Amino acid sequence: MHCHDTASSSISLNNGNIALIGQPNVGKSVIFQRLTGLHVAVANYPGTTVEIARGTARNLPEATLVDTPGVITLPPFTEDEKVTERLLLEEPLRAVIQVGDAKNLRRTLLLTVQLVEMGLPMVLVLNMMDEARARGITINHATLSAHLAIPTIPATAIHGEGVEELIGALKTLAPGQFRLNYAPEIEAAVAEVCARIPQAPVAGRALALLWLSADPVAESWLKDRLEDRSYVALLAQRETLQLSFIEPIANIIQKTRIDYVDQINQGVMNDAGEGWRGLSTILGRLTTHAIWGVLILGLVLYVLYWFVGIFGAGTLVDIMEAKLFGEIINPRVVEIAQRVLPFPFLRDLFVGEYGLWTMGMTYALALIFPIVSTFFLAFGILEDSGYLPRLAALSNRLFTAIGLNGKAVLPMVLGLGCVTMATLTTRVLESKRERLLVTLLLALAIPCSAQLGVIMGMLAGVSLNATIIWGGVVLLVLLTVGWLASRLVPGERSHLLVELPPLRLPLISNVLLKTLVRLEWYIKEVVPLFLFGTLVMFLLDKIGILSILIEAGEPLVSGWLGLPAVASAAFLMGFLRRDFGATGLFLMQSQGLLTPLQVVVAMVTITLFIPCIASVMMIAKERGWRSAIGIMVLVFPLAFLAGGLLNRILIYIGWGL
Amino acid sequence: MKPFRRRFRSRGRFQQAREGHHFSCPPCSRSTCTLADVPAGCQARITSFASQLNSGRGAQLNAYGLAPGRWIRVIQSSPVIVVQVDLTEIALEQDLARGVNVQDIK
Repeated sequence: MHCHDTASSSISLNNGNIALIGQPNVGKSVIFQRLTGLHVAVANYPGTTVEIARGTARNLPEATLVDTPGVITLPPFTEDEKVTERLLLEEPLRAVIQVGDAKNLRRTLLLTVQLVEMGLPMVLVLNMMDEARARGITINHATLSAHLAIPTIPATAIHGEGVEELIGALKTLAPGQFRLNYAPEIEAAVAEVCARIPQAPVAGRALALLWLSADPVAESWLKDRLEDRSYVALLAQRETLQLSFIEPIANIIQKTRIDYVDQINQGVMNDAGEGWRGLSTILGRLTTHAIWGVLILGLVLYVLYWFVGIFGAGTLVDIMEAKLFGEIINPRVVEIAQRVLPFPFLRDLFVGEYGLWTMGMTYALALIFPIVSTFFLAFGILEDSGYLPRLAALSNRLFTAIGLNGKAVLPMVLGLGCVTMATLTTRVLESKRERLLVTLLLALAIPCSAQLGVIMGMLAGVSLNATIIWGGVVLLVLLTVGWLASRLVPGERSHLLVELPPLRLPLISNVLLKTLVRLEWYIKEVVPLFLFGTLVMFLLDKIGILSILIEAGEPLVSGWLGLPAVASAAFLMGFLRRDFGATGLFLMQSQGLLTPLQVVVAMVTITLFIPCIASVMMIAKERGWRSAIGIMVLVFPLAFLAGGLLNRILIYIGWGL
Repeated sequence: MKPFRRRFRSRGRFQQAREGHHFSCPPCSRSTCTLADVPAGCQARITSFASQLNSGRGAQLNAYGLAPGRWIRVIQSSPVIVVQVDLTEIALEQDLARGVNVQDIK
């Protein structure tokens, strides 16, 4: 009936959005930034974007640009890939910009064929041309365009090359006219499916091919729109077709595409180089080596510890907290408050022990701000270098032991930045089981940047040994709980398969921009929570509940953990945000109230403590309330169990008394 | 003295393997060889995917360029296998590599 090769005629070329689609880690978000001027997270690892971002293109009036998570191929394999396919099937698009890696033309074209079959106006951007050139690759763009009947544009988006050409091409796009012929049985089935399915934003032919490939998103799209009877008939037809092949239909369809792509690839790509061996290749290989890789990881961690723990949490905090706030700002503020504010109650509210300024703002600006700044800076460099996917390869064995694969290292490492964001990133994992396990471990054992900074600062104040004990215990808890949980949660482990992008020298401007955006987030999200927390503490203190709570917590905090009773207040603050609690402990340490042993025990306990409210909400959103509550119920006693046991062990061996 | 010399010689071979010139790749003696049998530094041609590999995984390997008929070079075989296809480096686990049949190791 309406099995057009192009998308349904209801789509006007002047309406709808423009979607950026492509494989992971090819630079979609960089182009999005270039076209819209908006900042979205950009980094050198697959899975930086897990949600759709929208923005208005500066040079294309009335066009909304949509940035999507990367798709390796269709049918999709992970949650974030599904997000992108759903966009294609549900949103009328004016055009598609496919972004591809110029060094990997075959892989890029395999997705191009799938997209161009959808019949939408389309342009192909071959990004990272600089890297392709450095490896001796040349591409004949004119021939390529002729084969696919779409414009192709060479680009190095990070330097702005090719962006103007892209804008020009977008203004004169026409619906795609490409058609690839499949085996006769498949063509017959496509025609039959086409006649039975409702109109979609993409060409009926493309949707039929997705359906025949048993694509889960296409299946649910059709199920929602067809009567049960028609859907069952379609299923039966597909099963009958399958009988004529030994291999799954999806493989037969894909094989035709692969052969076609190999054929064009041969005609348009010329590889003059004899393999490329720069310093980055050699270093890249060392990072995944069984021995060198571990040494490099150790070095990276040590540099991180030095920069964030010693320099950020030591030197910078000392300048900010003791000098700037302690000697200059706070005495003035207190003085002014005493002059201006008439009632002692109000004075205490702002500048008392639990004062909004003396506690809330001082914590947020003097203690945590310098720490998160150094952390975000170091983290941004690490992200853009391309080291993180290599860590996935290196740590695969460790994750195998806890029923996961190395890919889980990505959300875990991102959790060191912000556990809330990392929970969202679990979408890049392949099974529900893996997403649940990683979410649990994130909530339990991964401290976020603010907390990590405070912890590093406190531990660096004790000794490197203290840091190693803390790290070792947290890792042990993570592995034990992961090992147990992976045996309790049903399902199979999936094997590691991950691309290792080349190591790159990070672009300073991008790293700085990212750091600024993250700091803005910190100021907007964390500071209000600190103020709110301080207010709660102040009120509890004034009504007299605080002392009751501290007393009630005494058996647990003093008896079991062996900490001074006032530490209860810090753990109470930890309910709001772990780093808020950690900051309370930081202050106790700087007042000389904690022995090295107590510092380590307190740090282990607060690290394992329940995560902040924002991440609990995120866990509930991504995994459901049942899982969220289950995780909280598990995490809370575990934190105290581990802390108490560590206390006893350290006393027994006589460390840090 | 002997063990020391043996150790010394094996180090020399490691060096050769890294340079990839003189080191010859041993042909696989089994009837069906898999990607997991290819030593680091050698090349092989993918023939098919074993039946134990589910079809989604097969499609993913295809998309990454590990498709039947293609030549790949194994860069490293431990802790995970790293292969180079065109200009991409892909890391995959031994268990997964055992599902990829190869021939013509060289």
